[in-house]
Amino acid sequence: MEKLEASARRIRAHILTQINAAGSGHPGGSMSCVEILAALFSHRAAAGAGWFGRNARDHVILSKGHAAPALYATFAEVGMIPEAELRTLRQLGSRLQGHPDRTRLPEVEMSTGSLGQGLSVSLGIALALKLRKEPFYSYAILGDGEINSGQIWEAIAYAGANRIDRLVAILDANGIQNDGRIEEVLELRPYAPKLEAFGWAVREFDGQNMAEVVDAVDWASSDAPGDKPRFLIAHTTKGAGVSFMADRADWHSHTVSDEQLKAGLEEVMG
Amino acid sequence: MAATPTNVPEGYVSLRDVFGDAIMALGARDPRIVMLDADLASSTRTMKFKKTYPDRHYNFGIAEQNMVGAAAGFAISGYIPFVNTFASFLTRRACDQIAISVAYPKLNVKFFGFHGGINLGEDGATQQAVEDLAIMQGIPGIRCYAPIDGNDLARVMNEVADVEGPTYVRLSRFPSPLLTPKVASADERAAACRLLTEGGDLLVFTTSTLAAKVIEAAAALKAEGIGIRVLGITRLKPLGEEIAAEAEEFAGKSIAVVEEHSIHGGLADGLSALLDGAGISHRIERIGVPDRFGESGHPDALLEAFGLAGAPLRERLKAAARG
Repeated sequence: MEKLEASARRIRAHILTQINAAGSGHPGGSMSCVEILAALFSHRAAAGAGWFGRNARDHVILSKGHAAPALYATFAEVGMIPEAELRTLRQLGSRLQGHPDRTRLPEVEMSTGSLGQGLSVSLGIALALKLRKEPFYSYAILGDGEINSGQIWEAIAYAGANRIDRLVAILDANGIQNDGRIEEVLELRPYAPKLEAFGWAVREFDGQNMAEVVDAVDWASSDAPGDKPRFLIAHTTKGAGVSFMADRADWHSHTVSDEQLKAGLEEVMG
Repeated sequence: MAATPTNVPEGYVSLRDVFGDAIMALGARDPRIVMLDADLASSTRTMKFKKTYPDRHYNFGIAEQNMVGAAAGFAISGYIPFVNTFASFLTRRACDQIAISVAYPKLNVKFFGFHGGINLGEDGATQQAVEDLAIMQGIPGIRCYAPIDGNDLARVMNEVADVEGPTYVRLSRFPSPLLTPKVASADERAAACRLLTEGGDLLVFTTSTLAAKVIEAAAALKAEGIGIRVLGITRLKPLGEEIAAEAEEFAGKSIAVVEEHSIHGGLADGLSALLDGAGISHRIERIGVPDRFGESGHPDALLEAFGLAGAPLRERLKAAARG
């Protein structure tokens, strides 16, 4: 667990460095999903260089594509891309597009950024896993603003009705979307009863507590939930890890100045 | 370019029935093909496929956006998804999913838009598609086809199953005359451009099953001493380069495009761009659906009311031939 926590700290540092270098980006929602990404790539998939090239493996889609810096940082952390490449984020010709692009960076499972689309793609992958009877899982990381989208609920309905047990949705529930707090834009809570009514197995936990995240991912990636799709509600904090960013809507899309980078790195790396 | 007879030797054939047969053959040949429907499987003729390959047929219900996204997931996993529903619901409802979940990542998804154009008739504007080709052609990287008869569709099915990357095929609902020869082999692909009738007074490009109405009009005008050369275009994007040479032969004369589609974003626009790019000066008479939706009516009555068949089409072609 200590190794994973150290990994999460480095991912946070990479996020700040990238957005500082790019001059723009989405730090808030990147920082909130760090533990989720670390648990999936470092713990569950044990990904490294070469992992992605294998056919038989888990599949992870970052449906909330604006958290791309967190995904790229995780790739660098596990050795899937060079750390030095992180400084090219959002630059002309870079593989690290503002939102993930699988044609430029093949390690990206799916191009995302138009919110609401990733869960359906993960569903298609889960259906393919079931068709081939493969023992892997298809994970989609969703934002709580993103699930405003009707397509998400089309996918939730289908997966629940058809008991697609290879599908795992992970909600980065940081409580804030672009225009403000969830309750000020479109309140969809409580989530669990809605999802359970659609036939999903649901677990809620502290999404910034690495041990709880790992435990939830392990539960979802096992036979324990039965023949149901799995929904993990990770209660997180937007901008987690940096005090001046934490739980503030204006850090959804924001640049990181040199001073903020220095202060942020000190907090994150301790 | 293949020359073909202008008469109708073997009666009428429905494109969707040809589709239903083709997917059985393709499905047997390639186990990677999976069939996706959105509560219109009886219309899209996939029921036989479902019966034979129950594991490879998925009905997503009336949820086209989710269906297109799931197709992307299948494609990522190495399958070849065939996505089937009405052209209207597919292209209007799931446009962003087609663009961002399929075309942007260049995934190998095959889209089939049933009941394209206005020939669906009585059901009216909501189920008709006058802008499906404009939407699909506007999205980068999608190859677009509008077969002109059943045999032509069979060639298109061979082609889309073989080419890597996203494709869109527009089908018509009602049986239409066979205008092109039977498919010779499973390797045969759609011609870039097909001569349907010969004539020297006017060059007409047409596409989809509306080609039969254009041939009817050309035959009637021939009796009046007006010769019309009709070329059928099956693949609208990318358009074959040889099409520019065809138009060049008619330099200084009229060119008309007849299409069961909006005059915006269809064959006329594609042809115009091709000729502009080739430096061929041209004037195109655009015979299509003006800036309006379809409406209810018997298919033949509707096509005539829109000036795309019968006497109204003859008059428009005659006027174009006179320049």
